[in-house]
Amino acid sequence: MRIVIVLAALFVAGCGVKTKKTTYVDPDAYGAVEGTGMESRDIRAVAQEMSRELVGAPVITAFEGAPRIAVEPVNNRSRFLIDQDIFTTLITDLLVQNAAGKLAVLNREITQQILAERELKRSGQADAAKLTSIAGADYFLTGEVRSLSSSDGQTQADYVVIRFQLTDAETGIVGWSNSYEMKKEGSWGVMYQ
Amino acid sequence: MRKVLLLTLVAFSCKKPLPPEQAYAVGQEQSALERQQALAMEEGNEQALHSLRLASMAHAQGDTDLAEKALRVAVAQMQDFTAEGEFRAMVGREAKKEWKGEPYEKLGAFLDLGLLLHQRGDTDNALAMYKSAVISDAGSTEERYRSDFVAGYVLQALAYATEREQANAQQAMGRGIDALYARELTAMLSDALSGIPGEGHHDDVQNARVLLRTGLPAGLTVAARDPVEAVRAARSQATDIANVHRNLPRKERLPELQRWSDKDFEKALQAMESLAAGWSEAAAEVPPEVLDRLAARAIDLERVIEEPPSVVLVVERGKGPRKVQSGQYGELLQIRTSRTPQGPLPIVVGGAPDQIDPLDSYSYQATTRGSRAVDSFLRGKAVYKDTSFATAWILAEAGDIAHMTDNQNLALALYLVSAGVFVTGALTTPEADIRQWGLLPDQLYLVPLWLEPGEHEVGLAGRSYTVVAPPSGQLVALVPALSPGGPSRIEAR
Repeated sequence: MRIVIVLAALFVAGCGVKTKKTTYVDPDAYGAVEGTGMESRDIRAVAQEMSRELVGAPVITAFEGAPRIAVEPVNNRSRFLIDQDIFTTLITDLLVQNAAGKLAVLNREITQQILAERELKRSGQADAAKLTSIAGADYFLTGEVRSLSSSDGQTQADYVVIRFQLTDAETGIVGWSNSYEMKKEGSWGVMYQ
Repeated sequence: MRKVLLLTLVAFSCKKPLPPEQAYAVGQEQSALERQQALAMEEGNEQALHSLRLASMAHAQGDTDLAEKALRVAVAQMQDFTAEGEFRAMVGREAKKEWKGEPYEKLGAFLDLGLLLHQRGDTDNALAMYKSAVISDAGSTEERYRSDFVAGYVLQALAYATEREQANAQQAMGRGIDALYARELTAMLSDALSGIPGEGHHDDVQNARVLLRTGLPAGLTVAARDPVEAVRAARSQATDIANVHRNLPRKERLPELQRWSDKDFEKALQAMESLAAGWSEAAAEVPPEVLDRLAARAIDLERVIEEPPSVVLVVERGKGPRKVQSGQYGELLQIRTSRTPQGPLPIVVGGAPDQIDPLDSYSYQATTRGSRAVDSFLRGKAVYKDTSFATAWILAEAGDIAHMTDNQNLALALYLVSAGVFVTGALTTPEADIRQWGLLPDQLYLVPLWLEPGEHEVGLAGRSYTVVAPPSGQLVALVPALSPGGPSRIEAR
């Protein structure tokens, strides 16, 4: 009996020895580090769904030509650290991929470089195939992340809502709006870097 | 010869380097920082703890980038309760488990990271950190109550105001002010309750006091600034608590109610009637100067969002709480705090001296739950000072745990019933985990400065800083207590 007890103790102690190794994982798969906030697969899923819905929205399909959309950084009003750049990058990429010419996404990240290049062309310092005006936005795509959290020390529950709106850049009228929600219970939220 | 050998051994052991945290405290700052940085890079059970210590040292030395990186690592780990660590957490010494920190250490980590992000202009994520700090304070035990971490609410208000969300800013500031009231009134009303004689058997009256005190945090949530209304709401909440918990399995009840029989609940509810009237009278007699002082403080805080200052410094001062083991088997975690309160912070701005009262305190946060003073913690559960008879029961339970490990007959019997329960019982030792982020300060002060854009010399508790007020917007920065006190030039990162 005592031998079994000792063996059981050794087994348990052995379970405490772990070697960590870096491995590649699918961004859409459940991660080893999980919490109740937004994971990579959640961000991708929301961005996918939003971009598909937006491309098919009446405000886009009824527009004469391809409307030009400026994607604004997502506002964070949740309790989670969010890299707004990753979110914005993902949305921009998926919109361009899913648009199939139905809308045009403006790149506002390199506006200064574009203006400098235009100046070079107009001054004759750089040649230009054609000169044209810089594209203005027809719509702004804005997003906001909010969360409602509760905890009792052992468990944590987080309700996260991500809202996107398409706003007319001339009139300020909201042409399209949708929210995507998720609720998770379990371990305390993981901080996302 | 033996004496010579012994002295030689002692001499060599004396030459062992001090742990980095202690080495930093005795002036070996640079070498301590380098060694702490090496420790923080090692993955393991204490990476979060080492990262926090590194963050404190780095920030004190003026390296805010390194401090931010270290805090991000720590915060990610402190909030992760993955299954990987779960089984290990059930057995073994407390000090061998993955370190997650006590609630006051968590909220310190969130606050510090939030302030560094705020200083960099990342207001969104700073706001997220302040919210997390408040949640980590509110959700630290099985009891549900609103957080009393004033600094968390006030900084949320500043972040909202920067984002031009004035309604949210006012709401957050309102909660911060409520928390200020709740802190002071919880102690006063709890003490007042002790002085009311009550009618009935002594134990029943004591139990009635337990119920009323348990309802007090909720009462102050309803009416933080009105003691009479708070007491009325507390009484209502106490009745609800009794009616709910008497129908729960004992293990699911609050710790101080776990041993109550149905008759105990019934008699406590009856005895509550005799206490209620006296408690309401005591609430009405809260000294007006106390309420006036709190109201004046509220006006000062509200001004910070109504007339935003160009610079807000959050200044740390003093030495923070220390964890010690106590109890027969070292099973109780007690928090020791500085005996000398810091008092107002002396400042000099533009040559003019002034004083700022403390806004919050890590020592206070470490020794309270829902503004109730805690005597000690047993496996994360608070043993309140105002429930002394419940304390005796909890200590008895601790004795049972230790006794089980020595009782072979009982251990073998448990093994026959369930091998898993036996293994757990045989390997569990009750000693409290006292690994700690010992570089936290005692007090936090909010120093709003309405400065013209440009450089200004500011004195804070004897240290001089050059503060660069921005041409627009607001600079928010943390000034650490740890020597030498952070960057001597405070500006946007």
